[in-house]
Amino acid sequence: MSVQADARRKTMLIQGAAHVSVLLGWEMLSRFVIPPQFLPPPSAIVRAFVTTTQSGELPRQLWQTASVLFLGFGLAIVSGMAVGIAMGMFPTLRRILDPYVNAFYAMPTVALVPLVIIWLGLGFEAKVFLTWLVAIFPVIINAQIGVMNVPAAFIETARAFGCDRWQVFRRVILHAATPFFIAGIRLGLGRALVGVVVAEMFTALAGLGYMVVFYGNTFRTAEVFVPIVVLAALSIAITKVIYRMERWIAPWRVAQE
Amino acid sequence: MLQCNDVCKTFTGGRGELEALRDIRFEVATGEFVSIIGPSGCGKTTLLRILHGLEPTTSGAVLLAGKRVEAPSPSSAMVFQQFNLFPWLTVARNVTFGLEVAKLPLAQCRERTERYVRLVGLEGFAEHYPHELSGGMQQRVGLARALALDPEVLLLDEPFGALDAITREELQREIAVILAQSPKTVVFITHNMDEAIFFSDRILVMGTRPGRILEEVRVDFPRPREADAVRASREFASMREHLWSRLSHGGKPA
Repeated sequence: MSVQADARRKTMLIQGAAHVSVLLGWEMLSRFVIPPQFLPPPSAIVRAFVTTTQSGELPRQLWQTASVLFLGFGLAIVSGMAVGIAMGMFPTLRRILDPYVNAFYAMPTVALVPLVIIWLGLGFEAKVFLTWLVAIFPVIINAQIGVMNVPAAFIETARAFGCDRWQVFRRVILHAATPFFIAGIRLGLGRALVGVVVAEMFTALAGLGYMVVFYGNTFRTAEVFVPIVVLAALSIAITKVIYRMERWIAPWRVAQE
Repeated sequence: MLQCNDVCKTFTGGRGELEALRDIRFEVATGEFVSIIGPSGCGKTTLLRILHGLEPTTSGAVLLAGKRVEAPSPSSAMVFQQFNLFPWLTVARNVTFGLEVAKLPLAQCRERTERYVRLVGLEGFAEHYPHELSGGMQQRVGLARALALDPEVLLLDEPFGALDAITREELQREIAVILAQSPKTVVFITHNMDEAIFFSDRILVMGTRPGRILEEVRVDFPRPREADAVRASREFASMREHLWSRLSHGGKPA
């Protein structure tokens, strides 16, 4: 036990030392070799982080981004699951919708930004819509695949124990497909984050994406790094939440892996 | 009593018709243990699914206690070769599954689940998930799930087929004990002659293409049977030899 604890402490020590030396190296490089407009030292980024936080700018923009992300991505999860499950269950619907879903999934949705601006303007709705549009397709596709890939033996067993069609769906298909649902959500998240930032860069003057553009255009490189780091932290945090969710909803699956 | 009256089954698919079963006719008396033995592809499993109401007949009918079987009902329960437990449910919830679908009162579900989990020797594993159990333990869950319904007929589809030799032997003994305590009408699908002889009152030998019953063999060893004693007897050897000769020519018309 104490041997294990020792080993863990040692690993953590090595990890910590590695991070500190990377930061130190970066600091030295930015101070003495590379001009700070190209690559600001970590200390300058920390300072920019403090000033933008104190001025209230960073919290406000983070809230902007987070509200667009949660609304757009949340809607994408709910509507994407509904459509995907329906497509998995009903072959006719699948045949009708499949080409559209595949086309939208394959194409770079950023190309639609001008259209969305014409339709919905530059405000909150446009950003939510773009986020939703970017994130929904992996959710649909994975939900559909999950429903279609439920092993026939499970369905046969459920029928053998008297389940009707609705019970087979509720008691078996929804559970058996859960790992696919979560995979779709995980893939959708990555796209949703890109969607939010792109939407903010092109549309209204708000959010972390806007911060990147604004400080980039004014060559305040240290401030550019602040929203980038926050976005990275945000995506890691949400990924962790999804992982926790999977452990909670499908403990059997996580344990199998 | 379970009656199978002139059941025929023909599958119609993209490549034309396939006659799977022809004129299957037999009866299983209440409390009787009947094995159906035959080479793979003879339609044994299809027959079992028809007996359970999972598959419609092309002609003929299955009657259970005089009533026509058209859909699965709690009066008969199946045990599968590959266990077919639901991996997202715990042992207890797997056993309760059929009871919940049959809409038994909650208290009764709980009481029966507990009783049958104990009966198959899985006390202390009720809250485990299937993947945490060995194959033999998983099949015990499969057995408990079927027995918990307290069905009139138990349909066993090669229940030992996916188990190693030692586990198989152990589980066989235990099932023999369980059935001796509370006799059930059993239809047992297998391609293992020793199993068939050890368990059965009667053995139906099937042939292929189309699947049909070639012969009916009575097994008169007194009960309770002891596996080693049965296996050592002369009757066992001659019966086994007889079954083997039927099975090895099973493909061709006699």
